[in-house]
Amino acid sequence: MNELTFRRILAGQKETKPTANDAEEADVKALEDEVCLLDELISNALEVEQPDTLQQQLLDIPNQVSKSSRAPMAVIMSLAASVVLAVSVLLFTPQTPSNFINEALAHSAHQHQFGAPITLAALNQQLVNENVSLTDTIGHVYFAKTCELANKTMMHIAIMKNGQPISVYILPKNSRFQLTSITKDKQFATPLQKDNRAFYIVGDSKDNVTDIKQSMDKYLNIII
Amino acid sequence: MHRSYTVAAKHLKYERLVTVYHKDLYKYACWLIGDATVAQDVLQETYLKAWKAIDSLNDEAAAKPWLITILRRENARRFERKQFNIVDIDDVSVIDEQQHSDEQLIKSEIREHIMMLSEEYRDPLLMQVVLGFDTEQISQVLGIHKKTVLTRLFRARNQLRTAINNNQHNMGVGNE
Repeated sequence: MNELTFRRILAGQKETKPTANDAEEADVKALEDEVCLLDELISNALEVEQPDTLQQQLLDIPNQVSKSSRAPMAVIMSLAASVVLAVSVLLFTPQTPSNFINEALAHSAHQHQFGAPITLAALNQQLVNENVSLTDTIGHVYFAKTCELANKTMMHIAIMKNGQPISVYILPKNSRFQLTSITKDKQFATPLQKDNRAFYIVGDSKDNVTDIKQSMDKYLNIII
Repeated sequence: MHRSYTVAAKHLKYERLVTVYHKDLYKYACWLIGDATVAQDVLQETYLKAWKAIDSLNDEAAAKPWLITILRRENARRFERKQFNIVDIDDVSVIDEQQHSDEQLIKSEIREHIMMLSEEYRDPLLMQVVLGFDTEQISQVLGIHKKTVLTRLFRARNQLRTAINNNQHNMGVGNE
């Protein structure tokens, strides 16, 4: 490949600097074809499948920003409302719900080191002490082990769904956490209530979390 | 009235930036970063910054290099915040490699060769092929002279061509 000719092709200078003869013209044409072919190969090789939700996520950014930056009066009013709510929560709720939710979100955000997936039988063996079992797989489960969140020991199941980590927390029996669905720092979390047991599912994608929730609802067996 | 018009115009301008450029930007981010999930995060940060600074974009014709400059800055900020593990080229998981057709194998080889180019050669090549930038735009974004851009583009292609030809020669494929 001749660098000077390449530069002329790239800079589109052929018109301003005509070639000396037919042979040189043919050389330039051949190089031009070669560059086009190589570029086509590169371009095809670099094709990337785009996530379906990406465009909508990007379009939503201004709405998310405007939600977080409200007018000063609205901020004062919402602060006042927050104080009233916080006082009410302190007075009437035995356990602050956000403690658990915040800790669950933070715990899940740092949970990215997975080994090999475990089998359904191995998972159910871990779940025996929790008096729950699964009748079918709910995704690639990597581990189920106890962790401590909001001063309570609970079972944490790590699942991989569509390449994204999902955490399922099995709350202790008779726990009095107030669970709500929440989206925070690109994470989504939602509770599942089954018989007398509560579960909290956390992940990066609402769709994946909802899928796991539906699977759990379907395959979860509470042993009384 | 004027304010609501300005806000609506700002939203429209932002929507154009997303709809027109996000595919190219995502593709570029994937190859710049080598990880599709991180690329998505960096792209979101990029568009967040773009939205906040959208009033400073006066010439929409310059929007693409403007977005790329933000994206590269956001990517650089990742390294200021956190020390990342070194990723082996074989582990780069931008594209599903399940298919093993000849075409897929060739694509996979070309991708590998591209990722093995040194950054100074790979960067302008990605900008030209993925983003469709001309040498002027590449020189502006990278802050290097146009002649240097041309030299790097030439060397990048030459190295790629040699690597591809060597591969074909080793596999006994090629023109007689």
